[in-house]
Amino acid sequence: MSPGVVLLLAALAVLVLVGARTGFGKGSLPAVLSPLVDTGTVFILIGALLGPSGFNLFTAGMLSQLSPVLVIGLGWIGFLYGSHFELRLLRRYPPALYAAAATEALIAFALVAALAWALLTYALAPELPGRERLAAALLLGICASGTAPAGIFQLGGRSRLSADDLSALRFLSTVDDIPAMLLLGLMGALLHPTVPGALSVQPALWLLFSVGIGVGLGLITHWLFPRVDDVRHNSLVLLGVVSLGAGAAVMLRLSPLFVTALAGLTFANLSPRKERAYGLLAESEHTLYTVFLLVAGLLLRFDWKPLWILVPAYLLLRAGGKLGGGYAARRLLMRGSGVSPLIGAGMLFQGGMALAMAISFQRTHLAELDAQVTATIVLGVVVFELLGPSVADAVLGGRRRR
Amino acid sequence: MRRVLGLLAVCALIVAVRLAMPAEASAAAAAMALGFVLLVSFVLGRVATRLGLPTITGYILVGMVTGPFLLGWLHPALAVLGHSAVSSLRLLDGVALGLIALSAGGELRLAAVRRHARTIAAVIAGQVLLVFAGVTMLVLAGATLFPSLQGVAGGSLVAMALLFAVIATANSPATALAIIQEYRSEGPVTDVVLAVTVVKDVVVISLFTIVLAFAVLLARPGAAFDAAFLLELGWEVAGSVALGVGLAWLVALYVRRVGHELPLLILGVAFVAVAVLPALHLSGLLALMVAGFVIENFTAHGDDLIQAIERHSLPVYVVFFTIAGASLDLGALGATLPLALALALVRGLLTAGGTALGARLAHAPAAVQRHGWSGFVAQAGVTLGFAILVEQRFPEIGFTVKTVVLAVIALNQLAGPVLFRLGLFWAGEARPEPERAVNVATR
Repeated sequence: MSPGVVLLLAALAVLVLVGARTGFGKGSLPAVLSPLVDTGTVFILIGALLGPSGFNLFTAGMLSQLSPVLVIGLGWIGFLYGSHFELRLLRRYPPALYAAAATEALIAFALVAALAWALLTYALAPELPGRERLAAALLLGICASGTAPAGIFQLGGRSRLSADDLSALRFLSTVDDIPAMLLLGLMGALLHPTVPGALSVQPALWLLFSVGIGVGLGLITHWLFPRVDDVRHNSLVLLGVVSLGAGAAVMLRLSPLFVTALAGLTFANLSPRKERAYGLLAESEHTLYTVFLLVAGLLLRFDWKPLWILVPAYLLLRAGGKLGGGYAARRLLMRGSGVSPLIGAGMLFQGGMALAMAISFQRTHLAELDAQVTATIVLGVVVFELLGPSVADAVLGGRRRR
Repeated sequence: MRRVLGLLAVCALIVAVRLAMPAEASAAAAAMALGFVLLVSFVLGRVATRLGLPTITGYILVGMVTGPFLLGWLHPALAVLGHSAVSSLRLLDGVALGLIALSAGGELRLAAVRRHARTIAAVIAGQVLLVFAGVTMLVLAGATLFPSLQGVAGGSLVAMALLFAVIATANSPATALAIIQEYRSEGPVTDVVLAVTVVKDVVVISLFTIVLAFAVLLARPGAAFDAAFLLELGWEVAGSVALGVGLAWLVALYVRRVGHELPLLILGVAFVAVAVLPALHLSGLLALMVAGFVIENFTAHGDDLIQAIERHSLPVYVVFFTIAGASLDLGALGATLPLALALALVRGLLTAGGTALGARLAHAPAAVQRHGWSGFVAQAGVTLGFAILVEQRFPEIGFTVKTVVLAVIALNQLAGPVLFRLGLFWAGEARPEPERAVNVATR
């Protein structure tokens, strides 16, 4: 690695350190700039400025040297995500609420994926292979379906939302990534790319491999995680498991997020030592997401003209999908509650998980459209993070006054 | 039992992935190799502890077995840590070395250095003089005995003898530090071994530069003496020390003003120093050792530094020693065994003699005189660096030197950690194995 690359990586590390320090919202900045910092969007913008779309200080070649960090980061995020879901605790909530979250997420997914596929097929990229267009549309749909809970939790104290709405938003946003994660695993199996000289099996078997590796890794973590409370060895085992799992998944062209999330889920439900593991994983969460925001910015490329149609379309479709999904969920599954039918307006927030999903698949499943789809999702995150609080407050905030 | 199951499952997963997908040098392959190294070394490090061996011996053995020279020799597909995996983990290896240097400097207490100053100087002098003279004589006298040296004569033979001798004086601060930290040892042997290995690095680097310049004259008749190397050496040592002080100041400033994400900062500093400074003809390792020493002894943040490193450094150490094991060229060991054995033996004996002599002359405590030698047997990163440099500078004799040195490193790195562990226990400075100690504490 050349000294120039090292110095640039050092500059990136300084940004991460500063990012971790500012804590997305603890700074005293002008009102215009504070949403950028509060949401972490500023790091995407800094990444964009440093990357090929800006001053090109980080070339594509340099970015590829960051790849191992990204693979391990994806594994870490996936494991952390999965370890949130302890079945014993999840059973405390009524099934209808989960069904509502799934309905809302799946409607948003279906709407975005279907219309994005139609747009790509009939208008923007008809010359590309059908598989590529399908993968791009599905990835857009998957990333559109989830909601970042961080934005809603930040909204809490200072918003004008009713207690019912706020409570529903908190629950839905915490669990509505589950369908996206499952779809990610499914997509990895169904659209498994052909690799010359590699094993070729039916999609169902790839799905079985994903589940098998995920559960197996969870068991490995359970078996190897030290009984003695020793931070050094605990973190060694966790880093080993996420590196092994994410590396194996990417090697097999499966979803690293799905595989490691399953590992985290298995471990959280098996091990009496899950709290220790969770604490260690969560310690690095902020830093990792800052890295992902910066890398997402670096990956931005605006040299494809139809992007300027795809991005607004994606924004509109996702907003529509979230509103429609929220409406359907409220009407079908949350009748009699005090939740607004427009609850979807409070679920526009997006964050690091959407970026991680985009990054996890663009390398293995997309060829021509990888930069374009990533740029669309990244810009979506920027716009929804910036507009999310205002839209939620404007649409849902009036109810409390009445 | 649980760990055996875990180990089997990890190996099964790796084998399954390698069977399903063609071998490739990618980010994913590097991540997978890293995960494998961490998990398998973790389990076998524990097994080594149970057997009364240092954990790093377990890590080194994992590297040797899964590296290109053992399983890879049986079948390339079996080498989980093949050449491409090792090279993809080299980045971490460099960071590890930087972190170890920072940590070694940080472990050096000024008070202990002052207390043992005479001993440190005398032991270094004793070791360097005896080992240098003894190894030179061995190579000169054994030119006709060892197959590896046949065909080398005259100036080339003298140059080769001097190069072997100077390389033999090097130690492994990384190994010494890892054993000291594992057994949480304290006492005069610990203090002297740590200080000698760190300070001797500077002495050996200087000596190596001087010998290299003279070896050129000997190996290539007609070559002119170029005194510029002295300027380069001065720049390397003085510049690295000055930069180390600057780095220490920056880290201290960061801790005082920001105090957040210190491990990330330390990793970044180690990475930048090791990767960038060699391009400026500075020694990243020396700069980091100085930085660690200054932070520990001249700022109020020594404890913060040591804690941050200790808390997060284990994965980095595991990777470092496992890669060291995978890099041990067992083929070279087989081909040069007689000379390598003789060199390792003579070096070991003379190191022990030099240590005992120096310690006795300096009136060091009896434990240092008797057991201090055990900390100086291991050789690793710096020695390997010297061997590679010799190969580059002397195409005619460099390959033989490198091959033999690699074999000597293999022997010393296998024996060194075990001997140092024994030495610390004999001196009564090592504490019980960590797991047993924690179990006792929790009871």
